Amino acid sequence: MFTARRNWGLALFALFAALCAIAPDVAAHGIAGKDADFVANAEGIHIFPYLYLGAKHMVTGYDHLLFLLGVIFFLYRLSHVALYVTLFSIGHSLTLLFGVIGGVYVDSYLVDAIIGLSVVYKAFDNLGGFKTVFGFEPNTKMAVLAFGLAHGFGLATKVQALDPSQNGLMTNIISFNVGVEIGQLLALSLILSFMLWWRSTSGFARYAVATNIAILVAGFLLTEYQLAGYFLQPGI
Amino acid sequence: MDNEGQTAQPPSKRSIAKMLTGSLTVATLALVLFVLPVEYQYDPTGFGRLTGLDQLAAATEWTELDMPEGGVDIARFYDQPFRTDTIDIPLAAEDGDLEYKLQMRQGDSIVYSWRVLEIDNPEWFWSEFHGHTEPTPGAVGEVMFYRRETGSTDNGSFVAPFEGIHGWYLQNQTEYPVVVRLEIAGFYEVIPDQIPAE
Repeated sequence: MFTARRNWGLALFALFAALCAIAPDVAAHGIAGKDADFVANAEGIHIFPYLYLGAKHMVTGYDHLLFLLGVIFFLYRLSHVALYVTLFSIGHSLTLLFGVIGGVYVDSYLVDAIIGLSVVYKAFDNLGGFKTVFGFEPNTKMAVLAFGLAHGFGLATKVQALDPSQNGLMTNIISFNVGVEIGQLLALSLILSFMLWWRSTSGFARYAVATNIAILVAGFLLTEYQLAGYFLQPGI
Repeated sequence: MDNEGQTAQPPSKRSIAKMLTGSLTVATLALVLFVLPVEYQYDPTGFGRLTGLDQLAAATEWTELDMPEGGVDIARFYDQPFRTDTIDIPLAAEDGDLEYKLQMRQGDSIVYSWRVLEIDNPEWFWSEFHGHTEPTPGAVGEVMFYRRETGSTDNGSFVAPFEGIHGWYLQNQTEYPVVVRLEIAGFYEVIPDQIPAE
């Protein structure tokens, strides 16, 4: 039914895509360059700049996007899409606000490794792996909420790394959070349009498994990439 | 709820196991061969060097800043190579003193270090780092003090504010003779015959 050769061909293609995605990581995924200068120097309340930074971070954050893609991959009803995405948003908003305002510092490599694992989890779950291998499936809603918490800590570490001013922090972080949701909505509408179109084609059934293997590879690579960073780049 | 959230045609256990191990292998290979050498400058297999991927690791982006007008406070340029001197200056006991002087033009620069080689108490040493214009009989000269202090060592850099004689007045307040070792590098001329012959 699914030829191994086709699956692995796609997986390699996805791997290539994942590598391309990692390369601009320093510039695109963390907050870098002039954006970082802005956060480091901005005093007081800056609603729109933080809105923009939040949205930009989400739209260019391929780890968040891969997870979202995995989550909605096999969701056919829009109400389910809305439910899962809301759970994800609640999760990451909680830890983003709590992390930054409460001054909770988590190692960004470890958090990003867990985010990588969230991608692995979702791809594995999409393949029916839990039912097939373990005979049971963890509650997917709880899992999405829990990994949402991890993604929020990931967002928090990116903001904290820039040492934003305490002056106006609450308003700025809420702006950043709202920006994240706007960015997520933008990205989601693109992913969802693509999925709706793709599912309507005859190719979907053939490539769905292969694509999830590709997401699995990307998730493993992200996890290992961050773990390697944790062990090879101490104190950064 | 039917299979909402997962594929309707799940692969077999064997296939899943293959997918997992295969994915992990491919990801790890990519990590070790490509990602580690580029992102973390860690190249255990040598593949990064072999393929030239490691050159990416060295690439840094730069923003060029404009030099301030003139730029003379940042960089100064001279026609001749700099000189260096190390001078041991003996000072007699009980307020034995001496001036060690350099001839410098305006804008000439030096770095220097001096220390009293053997002294029990650094409080018993006095120095005045200063400069003055060339003495002209009948005219009023100008003098500027850069630092006056008690202490048996000093390190610094200096740019001559005017043409003239610049240097250190050194005074030994101990009850025994001492030697000051002065090291200078930069753009200057030493004024000959300053240290009394022993």
